[in-house]
Amino acid sequence: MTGVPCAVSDSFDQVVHQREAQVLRTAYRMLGNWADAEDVAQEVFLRLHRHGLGFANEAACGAWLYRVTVNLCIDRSRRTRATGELPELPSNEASAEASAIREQQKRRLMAALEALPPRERAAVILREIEGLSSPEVAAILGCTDGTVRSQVSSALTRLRGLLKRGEV
Amino acid sequence: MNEDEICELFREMRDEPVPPDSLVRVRQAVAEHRQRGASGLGWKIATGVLAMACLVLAVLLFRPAAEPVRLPARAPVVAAEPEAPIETPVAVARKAPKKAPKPVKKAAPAPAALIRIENPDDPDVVILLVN
Repeated sequence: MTGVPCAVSDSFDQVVHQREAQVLRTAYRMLGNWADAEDVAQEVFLRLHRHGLGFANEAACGAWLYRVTVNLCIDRSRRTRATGELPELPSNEASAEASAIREQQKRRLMAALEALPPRERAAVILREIEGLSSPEVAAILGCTDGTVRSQVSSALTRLRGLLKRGEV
Repeated sequence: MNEDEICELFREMRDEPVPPDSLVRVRQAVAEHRQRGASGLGWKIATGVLAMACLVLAVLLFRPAAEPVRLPARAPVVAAEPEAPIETPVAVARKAPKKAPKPVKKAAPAPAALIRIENPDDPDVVILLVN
């Protein structure tokens, strides 16, 4: 599992400093905007403070942070979806510069990610963006290894379809 | 865009930096909440202790006082003594004269010694001693 140490001896502030980028980035991928991601990250660290740093090892701490982040984001996504607020997808305008095209592709991909069901989105983000293994993602999402592979595969197919149809 | 291109984009996104402003805001918000939580914890403990103290005080104040063991029966009996004996001896006295004549009749042939005891306090009570 990628990540920085979260040893038992670390102080809370150290852990926040080491893990804030991971938590914020994951929340941003899940939610699609930094403001919501900040709210989630703040809640994650407050929960960590209440929970304490009594983790068996750094991997357990990292997995715990991912799990709480993903769960909070899924809750928030459900609430957003319940209000009928759907993500605004960027247009497919061509850009003259290659880097700009690349950036635009990323934005489209992010928009397509937001169109996925929350658990599929979480599986893709954790495995493909955060670089975790399928068993690690399975442990975080509380499902089997096979379910994660199936979710990622299904999500990639959907993403390809969304991007090909130009819906994003 | 095929699957490989999508995965490549994902890998690029992995290394994207997080806005420093966001990091600072999160750090500050967490620190503020922790400080508030620490002071809030003190207040919670103080409130709890105060509530417990009030509860104990209330229990002590409203506890029924332990009364000394009295003999409530005796005092009324003393007061009711003049009344109570009135009925009981009357019953005895009424029966006694009814029963008394029978032996008197039986003993009629022989002159029997009859002792009559009267209670000066209670004229209804008469004790007859035969032989």
